[in-house]
Amino acid sequence: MLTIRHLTKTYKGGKRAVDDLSLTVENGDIYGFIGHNGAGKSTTIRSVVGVLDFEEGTIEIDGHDVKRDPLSCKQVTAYIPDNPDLYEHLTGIQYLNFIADIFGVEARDKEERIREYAERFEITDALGDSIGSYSHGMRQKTALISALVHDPKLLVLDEPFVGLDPKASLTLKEIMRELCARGGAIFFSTHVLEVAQKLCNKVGIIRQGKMVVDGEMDQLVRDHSLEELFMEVTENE
Amino acid sequence: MSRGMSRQAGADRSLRVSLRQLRRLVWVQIQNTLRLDGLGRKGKTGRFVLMGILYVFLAVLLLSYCYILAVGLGALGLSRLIPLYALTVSSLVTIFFTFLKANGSLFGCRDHELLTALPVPAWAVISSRFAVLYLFNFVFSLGVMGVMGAAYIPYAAGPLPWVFWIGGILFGSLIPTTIASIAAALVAGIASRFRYSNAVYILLTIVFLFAVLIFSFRMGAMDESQLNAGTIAALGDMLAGVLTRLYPPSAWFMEAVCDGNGVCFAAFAGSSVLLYLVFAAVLSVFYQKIQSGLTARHAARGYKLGRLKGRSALAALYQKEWKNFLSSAVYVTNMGVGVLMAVAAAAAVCFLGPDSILGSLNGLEGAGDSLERILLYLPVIILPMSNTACVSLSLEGRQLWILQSAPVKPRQIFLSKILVNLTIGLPGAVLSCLFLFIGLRPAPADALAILLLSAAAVCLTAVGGIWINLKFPRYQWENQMQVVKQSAASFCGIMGGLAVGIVLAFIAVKLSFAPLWATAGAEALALAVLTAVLWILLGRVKRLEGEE
Repeated sequence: MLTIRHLTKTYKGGKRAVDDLSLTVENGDIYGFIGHNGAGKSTTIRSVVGVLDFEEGTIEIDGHDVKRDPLSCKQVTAYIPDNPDLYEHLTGIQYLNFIADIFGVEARDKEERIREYAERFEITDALGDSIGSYSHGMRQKTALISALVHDPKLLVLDEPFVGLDPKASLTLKEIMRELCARGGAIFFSTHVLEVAQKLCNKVGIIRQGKMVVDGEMDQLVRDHSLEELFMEVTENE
Repeated sequence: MSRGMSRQAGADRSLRVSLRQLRRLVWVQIQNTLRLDGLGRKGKTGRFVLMGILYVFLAVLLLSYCYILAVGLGALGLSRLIPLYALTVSSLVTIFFTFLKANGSLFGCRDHELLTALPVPAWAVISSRFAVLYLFNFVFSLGVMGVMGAAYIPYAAGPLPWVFWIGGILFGSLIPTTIASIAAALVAGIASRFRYSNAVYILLTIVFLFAVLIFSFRMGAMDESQLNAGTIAALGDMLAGVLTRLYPPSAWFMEAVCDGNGVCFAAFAGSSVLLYLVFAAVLSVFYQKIQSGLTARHAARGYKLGRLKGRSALAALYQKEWKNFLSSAVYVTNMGVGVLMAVAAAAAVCFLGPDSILGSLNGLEGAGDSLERILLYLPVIILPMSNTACVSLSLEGRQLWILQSAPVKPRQIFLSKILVNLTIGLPGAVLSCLFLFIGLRPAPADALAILLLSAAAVCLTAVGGIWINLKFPRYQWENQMQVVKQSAASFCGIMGGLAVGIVLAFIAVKLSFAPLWATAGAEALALAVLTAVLWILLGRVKRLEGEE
């Protein structure tokens, strides 16, 4: 579903944020992408979803190259950044409607999905209010619903659990598993290692722009916790 | 006794701390304001050199005009009017533009919550914001009054006029900045009491701006009976009367400079400072309440999901863009006002008659075909100043990721923004042309050509606006004012549009031997071709680049 080969991204100031990074996310995978602050997680994610350009390497989503065929890639992908700034002048329902229409979702599907996810995230009664009046958590829920409204094949999330209450976090984990059970894939970054260990079947650890660990969770962790592996890898190298 | 002294020492310390905070706040605000759209970043220097040249060119034009005006007054023996003109012109321009800037500078800033949480008194926050407004207005006053002062050199007796003149430059922008801020505070205060505070704010702002324009128009009208006296002295008296009616404090300044009257200067400087101090003291009482009212959002809950209709991606983008435009008072009042001004000017020509308008401007009634042509070109000159497109990409700000990750081509996004510009511009063109045609009764062919030219100017404005914004993007901002009023894109969009309109009108006047329909038609065709070229160039944009 997602293949990154030798991705290198250097910012204009000369800082190499991502250096020769490769990874693969298959259909049905929940891939946890972890690393320290500034390790290159968000840069990688932003390159995947077409927000950032990159100079070396290739990224393919569902068989399409993100540089050569960006629209096909975006059509099957949903992205939520670490701090989802939404249009504050729109109401929640106007924003969801807008995103669904941008992705060309049929009216009936749109209505059904918004109804379902809004109820699961318990936000239906606030959808008529402007996003400017929402708390951080409500914005995060709205962003999550907007990501799910077009039934993406690939969900790319940057720190999706930040700001969510425990119930909403649980709901999100359920939805992530459901999406993968339907053949979709999830690529997400997190600092919550316990969640990553329980939720993900694959994990990648990035340090100073380079991928230092990449593989199946079960094989990598074995008798240890992900936290121990992370500390070992990031301290020793 | 000792308790009293320690209380005094505590108050002094507190004042020192507040003044230090004020200094830092002003510094941060200036840095924030002067963050020239990424100046210094690789690949952007060339653009900013060009921008710098454009700024210098416009400044030279304005200052040359002021200098020539002052020299002309002196040559006519009206040197007393030079200080009067200098202060009145700089003050009225300052009032108009500071009022537009005050929302976003004084009120409705994103950093308000951050500052409120800090142990900084309200007066220090207000003063820091006011100081930045004052500093930029001071630079304007320095330019205008500086060059007019240079023209006054032969008429100044002794050093005292220069002391007063320099004092005039220092204090000159204080009263207009305060007046504009008071007006903005009143408008913001009234608007903050309503549920739809933004809509009320926009409405009141437009009403105020038109009130200022009508006031200037009426107060600026000359008394023709005085002109008939035929003497330069009578002309001087008449102009002095007009200017002091327009801006009464300028009379004090004139008497201080021309007669060396220290009392008048003290009255001028004292009233400037006093007005500001009273304003800051009163506003600091209501500041928090106004800010809270303006930033409060209505949250009703209890929403029931009903039927949802499907739209095309373009329709969704257009409606989103249109809502964004209407939701921002800064955006509407600064970028939409050109359309209102064009329609108002055309309506004035229609209802008051062209002779009356020209007469009130400068006693130019009956000046012939050239002036009628200029009047017909009003929409072509004024409408391009309503360039919503030139800042529309920058205004995406932190939400740019939504469009960057959406499965739509950049040109479709551009088109939605262009369509919003056309939605306000094209009806404005039709309406203003209609008023002008009723008032001036041009030949049908001329009318058609002018209508097409106005529409073509609006189209070029919209498409060119996107092109300009791509060249000068500014996605990182704290309040929309920084994009709408202070960004390179907004400057290029508004001034570029105005310059194109003036050039087109100039060509039409210079080619007065040719029929108007031929000149205007050819110009419309040229603009249409230019618009098409820019549209094709926009198609080559493959991705929306953010700021790294």
